[in-house]
Amino acid sequence: MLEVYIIKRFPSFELNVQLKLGREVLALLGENGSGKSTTLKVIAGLVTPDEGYVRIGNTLAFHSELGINLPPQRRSIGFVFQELALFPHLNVYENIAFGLKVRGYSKAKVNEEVEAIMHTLGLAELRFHMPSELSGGQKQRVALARALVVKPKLLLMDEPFSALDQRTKQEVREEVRNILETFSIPAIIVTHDYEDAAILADRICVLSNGRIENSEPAGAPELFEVVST
Amino acid sequence: MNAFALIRTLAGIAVAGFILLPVASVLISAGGASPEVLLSYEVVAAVKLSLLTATLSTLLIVIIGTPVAYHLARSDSALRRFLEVALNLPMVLPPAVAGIALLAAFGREGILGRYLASIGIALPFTTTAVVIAQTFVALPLYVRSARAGFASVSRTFEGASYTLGASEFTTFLRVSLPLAKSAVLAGVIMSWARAMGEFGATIMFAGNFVGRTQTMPLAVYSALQVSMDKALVLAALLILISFIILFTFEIIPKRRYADA
Repeated sequence: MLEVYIIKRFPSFELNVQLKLGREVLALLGENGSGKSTTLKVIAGLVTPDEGYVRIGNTLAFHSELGINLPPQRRSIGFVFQELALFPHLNVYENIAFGLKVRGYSKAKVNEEVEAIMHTLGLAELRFHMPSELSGGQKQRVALARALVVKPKLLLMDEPFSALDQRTKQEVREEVRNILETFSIPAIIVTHDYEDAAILADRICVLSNGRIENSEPAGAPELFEVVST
Repeated sequence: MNAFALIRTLAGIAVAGFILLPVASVLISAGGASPEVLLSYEVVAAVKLSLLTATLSTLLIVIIGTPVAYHLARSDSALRRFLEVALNLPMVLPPAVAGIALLAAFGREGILGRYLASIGIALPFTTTAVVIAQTFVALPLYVRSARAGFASVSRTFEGASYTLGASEFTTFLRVSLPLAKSAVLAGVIMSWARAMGEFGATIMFAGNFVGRTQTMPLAVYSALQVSMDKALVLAALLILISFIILFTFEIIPKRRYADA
């Protein structure tokens, strides 16, 4: 599904990540500054690596030697940002419809798709609300709906629960897990929280100082040691 | 009340009086002028010309200034630094110098003007010259304001738009521009006001011809030598227009979107 081998050099840091993803949910676990968010942005085409390649499905999205570098628009990736980045000037409906509208779909088609996903994710009542009027969990669902409605091949989520308080977090995590199951879409979830990783992911990769240290099926207890040291 | 508080209060009253007294005096004196003055040919022509040229130059400024403002907010290129300096120049130049500079460039004998003249285009002393002079002095005001607006839009919104399939241009139209709207509008109003008030560059580069290049500030200056009444009426009209501009500026919703 996804094959990544990338090197990106920073003044005091080198990101060197190699990973493969099947039809599964992978958690990319690591401390702040370990390079997890950058890895996601490289896959999405928002950051250009110095070397390597990114293959998404059958599409070569980036290849340094072949000079291939598809822009984010052509990578068919759903991205849920850490800040969620819901467009503050658009209401829930318009946020979700954004990706469909820019593809030039007819009004009827846009409406049909948006209504369907709002129904699935329990957002129908909120369609005219502005993002600033939503709770943390509702925002998260809108961000997911907006990313998923255009039917991407792969979903990337950057620290999806970092903005939530502990109580909301458990609830939202459960929701996200159900959504991932409903849509059965391959996904990479970046997190610094082992519990997030264990609950959501089929497999966990630990990223430390810009390198993948360990890749194990979720639930392997020794991983917790790796992260906490 | 302690001494310092007293000084502050007195200074406040002095400043308000210093600004408001002359302004009020114009309005009061103009009120005594006969209504025929208001409808005289020169006055009507000047008002029409000012509204027309300031609006045209503001349109021109928005069309060329908006991409520049966005570029300045987003790019780190060498061009950016160069533009930065170039754009600050008209703001520190005395308007008369701006006028001379425009003549040196676009005048009949000017660096570019002599070639324009050879193909039959003469810019100086035309209404077009008024628009050029206003654009020259007012463009930086718009660009500065719009640029600050674009810079305040988080790049994450643009990244989100790209991953949703929107091109850079669509993203600019549907995300960056709406989010920078209040700063962009503020820039429009400031540059329009600056264009309305332009005097020095206009009189040097465009001259002072009634109905063609004599805008309201120029008409005030000319009228003063003939009839104080006419000068006062024109001045009062300019004050009213400025007041309307400032008021509009105040009521533009300064909407700051909560981080969503």
